[in-house]
Amino acid sequence: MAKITWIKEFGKRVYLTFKLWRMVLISIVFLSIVSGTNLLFFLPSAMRWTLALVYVLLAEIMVFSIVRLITGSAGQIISSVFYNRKHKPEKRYFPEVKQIAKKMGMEYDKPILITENPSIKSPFTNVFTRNITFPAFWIRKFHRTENDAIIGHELAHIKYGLKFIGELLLVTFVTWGFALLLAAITWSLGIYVIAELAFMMLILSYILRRNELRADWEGPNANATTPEALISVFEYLKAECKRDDGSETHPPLQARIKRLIRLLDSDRQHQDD
Amino acid sequence: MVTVKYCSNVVTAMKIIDEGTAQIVMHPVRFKILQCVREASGPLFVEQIAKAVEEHPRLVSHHLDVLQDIGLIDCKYGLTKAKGSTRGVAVRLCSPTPKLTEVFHDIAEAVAEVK
Repeated sequence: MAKITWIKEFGKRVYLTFKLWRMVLISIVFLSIVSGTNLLFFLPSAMRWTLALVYVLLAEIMVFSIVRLITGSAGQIISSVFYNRKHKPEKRYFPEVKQIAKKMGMEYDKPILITENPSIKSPFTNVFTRNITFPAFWIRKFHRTENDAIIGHELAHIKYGLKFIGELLLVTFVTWGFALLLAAITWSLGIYVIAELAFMMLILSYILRRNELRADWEGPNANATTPEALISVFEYLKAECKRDDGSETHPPLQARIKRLIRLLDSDRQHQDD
Repeated sequence: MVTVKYCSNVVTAMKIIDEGTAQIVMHPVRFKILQCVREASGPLFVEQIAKAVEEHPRLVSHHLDVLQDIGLIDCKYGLTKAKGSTRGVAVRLCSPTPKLTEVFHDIAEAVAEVK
């Protein structure tokens, strides 16, 4: 029993630690190319089987992470669509939202949707409908200035929404190009599909994480919100979660805090000058 | 004086006390700041608190704004000799309010309930 727990813990660590997870994806792409070009047949039988087993294990980790991505970030949007049909979210106009948006160089005149949906654990933005949804407990949990900082973060997602959609389209085209290349050299349909997914996840994860960092930066950089408030929110969330490893879509909180503290230091130097 | 340690029990207690003030106090940095201000013999200024809690002074300043807003600390500007200067420097001096003692008492009770 203890052994199974240890294996489970190890699997979790491999999966959760982003650097290792990225290595998993890179290994899949590499192994797929090796297998696809029939290089595998020149290896001794035992080595071939070991490689095949490693490949299956890596593929499983990847599929698990894709499921988590769908049930996590995309799941929030899907869940809110179904939940909102029965329970209409409260539409609340915050006067600060318009001011923050104006400072960030954009127009935003929509109410913030406050939901009681228990499956929504954090605020999120639907880039297509330009709606910002907040869980009700979140408003009570943080101070006014901190909620403003979060709104600034979400508004940045809307501001760069079109750019983000463009980036997603680019990922689709690049993956398609890679798939065509792979189709020319691969003999197995399984390898072809897994490698294509791994390659897509690799680029997608980079874009999603960069999108988050850009949103963190945007509000304080436009003097619309303060970096201190956003750092404060991240510190609170860090204390709440057991391990801060980040996810496929979000960088670790510690890394985001460090990046914002650099902004505080640069501001301070500017004031001293 | 009621002493409360920031631990997982406090985080659990936070979920029990579903009230604005307690939620805001349960921030790890704010909690450290409040303890620092409570245990000090006199009013403290931002740099002193930042050193004690090992946080950026601007971050401490933000937390002090929040705590002052909900009436847990009292801030006044006063002259003090800081950074080895011979002249007095205007600093923001922070001292605890009676409300802070009440809140800490509530948290201690909630933690005991969780235990």
